[in-house]
Amino acid sequence: MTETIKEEPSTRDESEKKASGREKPRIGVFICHCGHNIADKVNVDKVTEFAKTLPNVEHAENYMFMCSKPGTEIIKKAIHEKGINRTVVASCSRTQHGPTFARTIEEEGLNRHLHEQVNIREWCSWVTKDKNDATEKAKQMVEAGVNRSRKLEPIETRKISTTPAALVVGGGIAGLRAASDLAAIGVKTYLVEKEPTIGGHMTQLNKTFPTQECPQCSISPLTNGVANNKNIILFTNAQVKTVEGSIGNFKIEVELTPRYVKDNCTSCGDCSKSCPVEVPSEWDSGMSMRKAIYKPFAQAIPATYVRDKKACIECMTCVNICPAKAVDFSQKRETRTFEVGTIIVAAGYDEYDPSEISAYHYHQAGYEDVITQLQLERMLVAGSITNSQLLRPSDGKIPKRVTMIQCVGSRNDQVGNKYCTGVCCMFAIKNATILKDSYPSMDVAICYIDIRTPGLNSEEFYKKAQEKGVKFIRGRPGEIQRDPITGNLQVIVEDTLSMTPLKLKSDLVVLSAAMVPPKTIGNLGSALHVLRDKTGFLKEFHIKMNPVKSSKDGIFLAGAIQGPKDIPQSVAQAGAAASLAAAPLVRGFIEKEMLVPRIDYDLCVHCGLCISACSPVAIYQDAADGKIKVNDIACKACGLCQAACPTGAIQLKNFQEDQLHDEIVALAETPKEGGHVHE
Amino acid sequence: MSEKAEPKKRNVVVFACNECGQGAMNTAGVARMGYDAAIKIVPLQCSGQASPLMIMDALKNGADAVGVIGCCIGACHFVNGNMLSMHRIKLLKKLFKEMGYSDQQINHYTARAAEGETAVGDFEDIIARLKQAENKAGTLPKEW
Repeated sequence: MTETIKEEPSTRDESEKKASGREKPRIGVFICHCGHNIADKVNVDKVTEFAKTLPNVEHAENYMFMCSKPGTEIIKKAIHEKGINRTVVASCSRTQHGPTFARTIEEEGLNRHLHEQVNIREWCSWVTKDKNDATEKAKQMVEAGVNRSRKLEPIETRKISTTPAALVVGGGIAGLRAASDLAAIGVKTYLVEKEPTIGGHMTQLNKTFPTQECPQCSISPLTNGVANNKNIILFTNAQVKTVEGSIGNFKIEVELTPRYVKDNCTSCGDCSKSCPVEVPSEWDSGMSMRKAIYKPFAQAIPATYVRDKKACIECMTCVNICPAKAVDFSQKRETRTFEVGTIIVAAGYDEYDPSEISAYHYHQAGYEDVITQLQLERMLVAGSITNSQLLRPSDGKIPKRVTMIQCVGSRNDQVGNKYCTGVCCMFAIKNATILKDSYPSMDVAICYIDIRTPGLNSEEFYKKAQEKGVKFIRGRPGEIQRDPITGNLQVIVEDTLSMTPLKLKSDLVVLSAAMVPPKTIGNLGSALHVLRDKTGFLKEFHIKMNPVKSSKDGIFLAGAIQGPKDIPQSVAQAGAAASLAAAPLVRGFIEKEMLVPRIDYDLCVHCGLCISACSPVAIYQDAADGKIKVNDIACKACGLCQAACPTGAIQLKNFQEDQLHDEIVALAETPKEGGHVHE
Repeated sequence: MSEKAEPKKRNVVVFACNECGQGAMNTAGVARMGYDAAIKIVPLQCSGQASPLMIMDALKNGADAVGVIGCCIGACHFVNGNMLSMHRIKLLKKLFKEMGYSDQQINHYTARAAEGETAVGDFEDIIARLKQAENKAGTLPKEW
């Protein structure tokens, strides 16, 4: 078959060219080499020649990098010179460069929906071994794209106003930073924290690496600032129950667990002193006891006391003793609903529970001297129960030999997680250095697999610890053994550098436990409808190019909820999330493309199947005229109505059944010159 | 005498949803996980958009098998499109069996966008089931 390409220059009027989509399709096909990525497997010249034989294809061309400036110039030139009114680019995925080419044709006055992206890289060249197979498959895919392109129609974009408020989930360092940044931009921000106090894990720490600064001092301006900010509405002891809607207009329902103490609490602490119930303090990682009515720590914000209903025996002592009459057992669970435009999730992390690793005997009787790094921090912190001294939990003596075990729950195929938490090396070195400084005669050893200290000042910090005499032993301990008579612990490890098995006598063993997703993430994730990684952390939109956005529009991620992070990384991400979340709110509107179904009333039989199939409840029967109608703003363009319709009356624009038929025909049969579909 | 037959050129039409379906396929591509060249992907918005009409359309026009890949059950980005699709394909399978053909030609799968291997596993299963149907000579005839 000969080429059907017409070489005569276009005589079309410029304004007519700004296609309404109703004129005869003149399709331009552009095939990308993607350097070697596509061209090594797919014979791009053959595919180009094949594309030229397809009906309505006025122009076909291939180029090294279609997405580059010269590449998009080729497309623009074809639109000018050959009167192309719709384009098919065979290159990478719809998400990667689909928008690039859509923008290109938009600049030339064509509607962006008249561009069709064919993914011959991820779906063809990268996954097909044989070159001929890949070329044939690419031909089919290009034909399918051309067939679909033929019936594409322009889609208008509508402006939708946004609710000028934001929700931040989580009151740790990332959530606080994000909330205060949002408030500084002038956005009304709801901050929801599940614990009775804000500050998160950072308030639990003793020092921060590598400068050994006091984390309480670093975070307190932020906690105080957030609590006193007029733009921030703070909910503690609260959990997000449901999230409805989409970017611009989310409807949030938050459930508030009562504190059982009213706001007129003066924080005098009389209730706590008289309370007879003692339970291990969560905030102190179980290293001290708290009462059933308590304040997690002296500097806690809000300063109001809180009653733990589960632990309380309802002796009513606190109710009677409170001078302000603030204790109120009659408080009930409440729900609050409010509307926001965007959401930032900063739900943080949990420390991995090492009791899963049976060889380390964490939390077992006789092994009280096996603790985690967070518990060690709680002991060393100023004002701790041990008065900042390191004392063994079993007998209260100062240990002479301390062994730290790295990668507990990280980098392990058998138990725990495969990923590297990344911060454990640094905080183990930090704690080892602090111990060496406080107790110069103490033997401190760190058993590691690899020491990972990337970034500025970290390697220097590691070197300094070595100079101070912290011992580094390369090997993952196989077991922590306890002498049944003396009760002494020893860590069994092979030093893999000198190939010698060692038995390290240890008075205290500290486990560097991994960071894992918080336990509450399951409920939160399903309320938000965002994707999660297989590790359980919330998945970012793109690992390199968009690590702040979640899989859903209008929901952003900050801090350790997206993966293990240290404090500066969390703060940086929180700032980025705040600016991204504020953008549509400050602008006041978002733009929604009206990719919605169209109803042919001649075919519609009013059966209502589309109404029952529609998950965002966007289809309704108009009471006035009895017709089935679509709410364009609520529609999410899923096409479920189309599959449900028995008569084919409701058709999603640009995914119409006849259009998909044309595409399927090209893919279901071997490629044929001239194509399968003719108008 | 060599019996090296030309490997059969198949065309398998796979309807993939815009979220996890296509996402897993992109991830598989980025990780260079190879799979059968017979797999031809039709991008849809949701797996629930793949109507029986479209599935039969593909088989009628020469496809050897049809797969529909959506998000995991409970993770549909449009709430329940994948469930609708799964039930629809169960019914279609029943219909195929009643007509006397193999029900292995049409299948519903789920994939996870972050894990390319889920999509590749689905593709391998489609081909394996198709071969099973072909060996038992139970596939739908090409000419109707």
